[in-house]
Formats: sequence, C-alpha cells, structure tokens
Amino acid sequence: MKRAIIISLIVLFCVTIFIFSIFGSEFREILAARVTTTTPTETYYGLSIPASAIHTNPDTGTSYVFIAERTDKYPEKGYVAKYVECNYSEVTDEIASEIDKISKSDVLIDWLSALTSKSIVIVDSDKKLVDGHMVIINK
Amino acid sequence: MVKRRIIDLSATILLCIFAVIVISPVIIITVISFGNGGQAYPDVFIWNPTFINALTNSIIIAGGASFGTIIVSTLAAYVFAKVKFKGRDLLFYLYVIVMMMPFQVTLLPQYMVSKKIGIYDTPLSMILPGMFAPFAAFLLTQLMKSIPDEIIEAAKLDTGSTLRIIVSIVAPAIKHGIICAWALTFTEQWNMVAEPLILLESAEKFPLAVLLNGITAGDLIGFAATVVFSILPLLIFAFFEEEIMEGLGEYRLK
Repeated sequence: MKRAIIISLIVLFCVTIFIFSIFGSEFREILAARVTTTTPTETYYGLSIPASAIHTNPDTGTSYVFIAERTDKYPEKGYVAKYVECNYSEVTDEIASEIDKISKSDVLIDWLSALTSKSIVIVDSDKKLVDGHMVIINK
Repeated sequence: MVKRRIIDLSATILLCIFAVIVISPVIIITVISFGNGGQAYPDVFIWNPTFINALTNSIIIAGGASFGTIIVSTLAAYVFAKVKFKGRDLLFYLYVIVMMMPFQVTLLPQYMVSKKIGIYDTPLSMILPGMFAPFAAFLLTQLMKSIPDEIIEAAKLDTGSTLRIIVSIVAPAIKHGIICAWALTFTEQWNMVAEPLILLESAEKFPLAVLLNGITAGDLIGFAATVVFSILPLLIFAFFEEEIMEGLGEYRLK
C-alpha cells in the first residue's frame, strides 16, 4: 500500500513537470494580464504619464508604476511586468496650459526615478499586476 | 533495573531532540512555503519557466547518469569479483583511488575530454562521466564477492553466456545493492553544483541545483522551489527505503 502511494506520487510529480514543461507557455498566455501601455512624454518639468498608471502602496505610501519589459529569456520571448518606484507631482493648471503635450489627467515623474522616456508604462490592466509575471500588450 | 530505564529514557529524549534539530529546517521551509495561501507554488510552476526547465534538466541528467551507472557498474563489478586476469587487483585499486580523490581533481580532464569529443555543453557531458562513478562499482564488487564461485561455474556450464549469467543470476542476487547504488548515484547527481558549472555553458541547460540559488531570493518562491527540489529524492528514498538499508547493511557486513 505504502509503495503504491509513493509510486503514484512519483508519477504525479513527473506528469506535473512534464505538463508544465510542455504547456507552460500556453498557461502563461491564458493567465497573463492584458495591458494597455504608453511611453512617457519628456517635458521640462519631468516625464509625463497618465495618472492611471500610478499605484500607491497603502501600507507604506510609496508610489510606483509597472513597466512592460521585453525579455528574451528561455523558453519564450515576451513582456514581463516590472515594478518601478517613482515620485510624482500632479500637473497644475499653469503647467497644463504652458505645455500642449500634457493634460491635467497626467502626472509628472521626477527625473531621479528609474523611468526613462523609452520605458513602456502600463496604464491599464485587466488583472492585478505582479512583478515578474508575463503581460500581453493590447494592440 | 531502574538505572537502565533512566539511561534508556535519556537516550530516547536525546535522540528525539536530535531528530527535531535535523528535521526542523525541512518542516520550517515547507510551512513557510505555504504562506500567503500557497501562492508561491503557481508562481514557481507557471511564472517561472526557468525553474521547470532546470527541473527537467535535473531529471534527465540524474536519471540518465544513475541508470547508466547501474549498467556500467554491474558489468565492471562482475569482472572485478568473478573474472580472474592479470592486473585485476591493480585495476580495482585504481578504481578505489579514483573514488577517494576529490572530484575537483577529475573536473579539468572531464572538461578537456568533453570538449575534444564534442559533448561539451550538452547533457551527455554530465551523464557520461556520471555513469562511471566508482562508488557504485566498488559497492557492487563487494556484494558480488559473496556469491559463491560454484554457482557461477554451474551457470556457465548451463548457459555459456556471461551476460545472461549477470542478468539472470548475479543481478537478482544483489538486487538490494543495485537499487541502493542507483538511489545513491541519483541523489549525488541530483545535488551536483560544481560539475554543471564547468561542463555546461548555456544557462538553459543547467540543472536546478545550480539555479536554485538564483531562484531562492529569500521570498516565498524560493522556499517553494526548495520544497519541490527536495521532493523527488525523498520519494525515491521512501520507495526504496528497505533496499537502500539492506544494500548498505550487506555492504558493511562484507
């Protein structure tokens, strides 16, 4: 009896590894968050991104954004969500009227954050984003 | 009588304390890995393709090398134990010397040979040297020496084929030893870290023992990865527990 249970567990273990090894990319594609992205706009005051991209940690009060980072890692190429901490300030009426490219619904990220004008910032997502998980960018 | 009981009780308590100390890291890691509702396990299996790939590599390398070891070692042990030829003992001592050597000594020659024969950076560069692990041959030789020569001689008259004698008479007689050697070789190959770093180059070909350090970043995913990594050797030990104990017991009695 003991042996039957153990051999079933060994088979179960090997089958699990086999399934995730073969169909892992399909699982990831089904479970990945579908996201809408944008690239920051460079202005004199800092990088401008839509306010919907900003998240705040309720415990620490830290603000952060998720960016989609291209990965060429084995076994599949794609984008993964990456957590980037940043400080931001709201766009005032004066700044919005001064610079055409930004509106009052945007926020300004200071130059000291890890965000660059080439970063792909995730603005909206159909699922909760987790650092390191695969995301699919909506066309 | 009372004194004897006190000694027994003290020994039992002491052994229980040691058992708790030994087993507690495994229990702590397992309990922690199920924190946050066991979310770390889907993270490991679904969102960490490197982990699954490395685990598959570990199974291929450890499985291939351990099965190969059994074939090579059984044949080698038969020759050392039952075939008489000049220089047999010297050859056996050379085998034992290799077993005593630190494995780092043989790493560079293994690297050079694998480069030369074109198996560098393939699973074969790990499996082939693993197949010639001297410990299994040494263990099986000691066990085969206990089989009476008369039985082998009688079987020779009956069948005439050495391979058939090994398969149908010698191997069943030392079944426990073979299983024990297989399980020990599997575990050894499963836990290898230094060899893959020398004999493999591409990260996607590394076994899990090498990459576990990268996955174990101190968060729950690291704990879950460690638990999954330890499952297979534990299951193998649980399955072959009797054979391993008897195999090692018989070996010690020789």
